[in-house]
Amino acid sequence: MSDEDRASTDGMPEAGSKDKTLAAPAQVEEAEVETTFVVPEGLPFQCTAVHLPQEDGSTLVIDREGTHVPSADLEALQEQARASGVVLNTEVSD
Amino acid sequence: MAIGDLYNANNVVVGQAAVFFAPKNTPLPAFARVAPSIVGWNQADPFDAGYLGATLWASGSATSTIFTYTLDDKAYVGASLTVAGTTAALIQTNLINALTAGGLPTSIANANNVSVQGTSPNWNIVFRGPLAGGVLTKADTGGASTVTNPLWLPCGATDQGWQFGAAKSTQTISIEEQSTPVATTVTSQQVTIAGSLSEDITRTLNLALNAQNTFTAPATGVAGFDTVTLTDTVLQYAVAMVCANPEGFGRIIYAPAWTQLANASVNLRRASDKRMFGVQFSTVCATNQIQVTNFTVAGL
Repeated sequence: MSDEDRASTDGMPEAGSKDKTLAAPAQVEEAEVETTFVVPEGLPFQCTAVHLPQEDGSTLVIDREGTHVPSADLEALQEQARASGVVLNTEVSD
Repeated sequence: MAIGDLYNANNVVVGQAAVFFAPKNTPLPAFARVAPSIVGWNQADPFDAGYLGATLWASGSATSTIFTYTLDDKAYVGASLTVAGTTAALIQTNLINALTAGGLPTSIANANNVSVQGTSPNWNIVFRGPLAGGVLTKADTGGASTVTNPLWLPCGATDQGWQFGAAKSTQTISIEEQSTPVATTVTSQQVTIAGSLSEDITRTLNLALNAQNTFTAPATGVAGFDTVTLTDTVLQYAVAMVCANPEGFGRIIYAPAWTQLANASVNLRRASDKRMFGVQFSTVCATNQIQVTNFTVAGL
């Protein structure tokens, strides 16, 4: 068998190889999620935050002082909050 | 309005006094009120919600907007309102329609309880009676408008009105050579406003229990709800009590910082009486910050 035939395609050393090092596993880079800073309007001053339940069972907590939310979900979150009389204002700086 | 008159200009029973609260150090609004304005101190009716309960809508660059009035966590959403050419009457109708569409009867959602006045682009909106204490928001199209809600919230209905007190502890200074004291000093003084709140709503729970709340929006199969959380951090409020006086112009007692730490004991009984939440506001500010404004002469 030629060396080419013995060549492994998975990076693992061939049996009997003097190279003891293992190839490093491929690194999975996490994509950065773009966020938008929103401030809830329409909360009485005694109300400290608004909780928005999500379809995956999680709850997004939007603090009175403002919170970063995923930009991709912004429109849906604004619609969800608006149904309860809360406006998620994006024209603010964090 | 004379002492003993329990009705305001809208023929609503308001009792001898009405108490409002706001974040600590919130100042009183300006007293000035010139017809046809609906904001400012009303000499003819001290209980006019236009003084502590006025909302300002500045239409700005918006071409249209949708108002939402949220009262006790229920949102009343209106139809789209075109900014160009709008009038106070159109804004009023828009808001009343939003309230009735949300289920409120016309005995509550009417022109007596929703007042609008102003000239473009600035409009004053006052929600009165059972509609007071909510929050107005807007969803703009074509630009941006601004809504400024009042910071003052009503404590609401009570069981037997309010009790105002200023209790002093004194120390007499005596000398051997004189039988009567030569001086008296005030060692401590407690100024209080006490009452039993009878509106069984989140706002009352927060006040009575020294608590704040978060709001969870409704989800599929789950109703929306408030979570009232008690805290050991003593919450402080600005408090104002409005009442009538013999001159008929009214009186307002105000201080910028009060606490409410009365013990809470609420009876929940099948057929006895309404639930009542006892509160007692106590000042925690300097004595000279406690003000009693007693209107005695008509304005010009």
